[in-house]
Amino acid sequence: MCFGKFTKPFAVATFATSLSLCAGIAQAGDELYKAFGRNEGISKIIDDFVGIVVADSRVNFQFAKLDAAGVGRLKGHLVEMLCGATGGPCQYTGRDMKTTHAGMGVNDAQFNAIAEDMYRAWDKNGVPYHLQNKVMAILATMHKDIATKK
Amino acid sequence: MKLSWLISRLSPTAAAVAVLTCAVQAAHAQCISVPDQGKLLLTGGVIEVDGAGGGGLVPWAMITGYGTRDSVGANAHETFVNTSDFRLNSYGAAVGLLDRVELSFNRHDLTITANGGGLPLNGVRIGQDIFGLKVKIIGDIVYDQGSAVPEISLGLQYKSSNGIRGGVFGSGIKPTDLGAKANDGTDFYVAFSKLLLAESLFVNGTIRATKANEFGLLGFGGDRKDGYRPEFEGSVGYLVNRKVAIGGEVRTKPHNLTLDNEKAAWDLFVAWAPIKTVSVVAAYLNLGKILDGPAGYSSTQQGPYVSLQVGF
Repeated sequence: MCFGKFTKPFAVATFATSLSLCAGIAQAGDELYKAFGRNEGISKIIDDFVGIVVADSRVNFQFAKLDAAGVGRLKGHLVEMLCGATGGPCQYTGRDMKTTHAGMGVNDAQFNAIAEDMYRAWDKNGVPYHLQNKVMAILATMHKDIATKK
Repeated sequence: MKLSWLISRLSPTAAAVAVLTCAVQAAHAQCISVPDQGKLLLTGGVIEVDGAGGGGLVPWAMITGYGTRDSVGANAHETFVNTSDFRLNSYGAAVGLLDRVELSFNRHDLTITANGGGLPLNGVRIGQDIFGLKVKIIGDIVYDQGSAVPEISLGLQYKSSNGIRGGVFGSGIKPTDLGAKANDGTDFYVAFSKLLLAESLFVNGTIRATKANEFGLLGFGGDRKDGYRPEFEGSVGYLVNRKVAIGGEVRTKPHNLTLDNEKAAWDLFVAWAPIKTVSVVAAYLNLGKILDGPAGYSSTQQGPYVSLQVGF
């Protein structure tokens, strides 16, 4: 299914398979993608989200080394990811979650802080709470590849 | 309020817990002394009537407080229940260590009120202390969204009677004087908790091995039965928004004493956590008939349940 690629650690093979199925499923049930404002709304959400994260002392130090171009790339990948998680017709072109976060020492409190910031960005953009949870349920499964620091 | 008393004792307790946690973590070459409040709102549950992390009547698998596996959490709570003929004040404190181990202390002070009007037991007070231990075995209610595996914990609650006194009992009797086989006892439970986040739904099932009469307030075992029996406790909750959950619970109980026609208890609740340090639960609680028959308290014991909790 369309969400499937995000429930796995972005294995390339899974990715290719799921993307080929994705367009059709997005047609059948793109309620979530619509609720998140399609590509335009999702870009706005990610802009707000990055702004909230930068101001969040619990996690902003993890992104301190990024230059403007780096922030741009990050936003682009986050838009692709959120678009995909909502069932939208997007292809995630970034590295897999495990590789991306290797060595960052992300712990549970930081992972959850990012989740709270994401909820805030969704609230700010008027996404209904119960639809927010449908997407957070997908993002939460990334925990094992992102928050590897005990 | 006993709550301020509890809070004044919670700070040194938390400091002691932090030191203890440091010792445990020494092997990891780091020492957590600051509570991280790292869990998502409401995902640590609240404090149930016996003092463990859970809902209102039922212990859940989650370790209390907002500390992650790298930190500690703690809560103090005070709960009031006011049914037709009984008034229960339940208060205590609980700590969660490394999101793995939970220790709790809770006290029950129950007063038989005059609501029923002129019955012989009015003014009688019944009390007990409850020491709880819970250990998380597997799973995480937030992160395990892709699998069917629940969060599972094992727990025990040691309950020690503070006697039955006041009213016709004057300076006091013990539960054994009413037919219970023991004044103190231990419950053992396993709790299965699952958050179906995509549906904004929480479900919990707990199996408790117990001999307790009316939560232990009337002792353990009796003339009808005196053995451990498995009892079922279930909770269902719906996340209305990030700060509010509504739901219901049921808790079956043994019927060991002839003089007490003990029934299952159930509740309908609203839990509100405006911030991580404060939560409030308001519920309708139904305990069924208690002391049906000789004592004359034949009406269903039902009424409001209100609980205030502070912590981190």
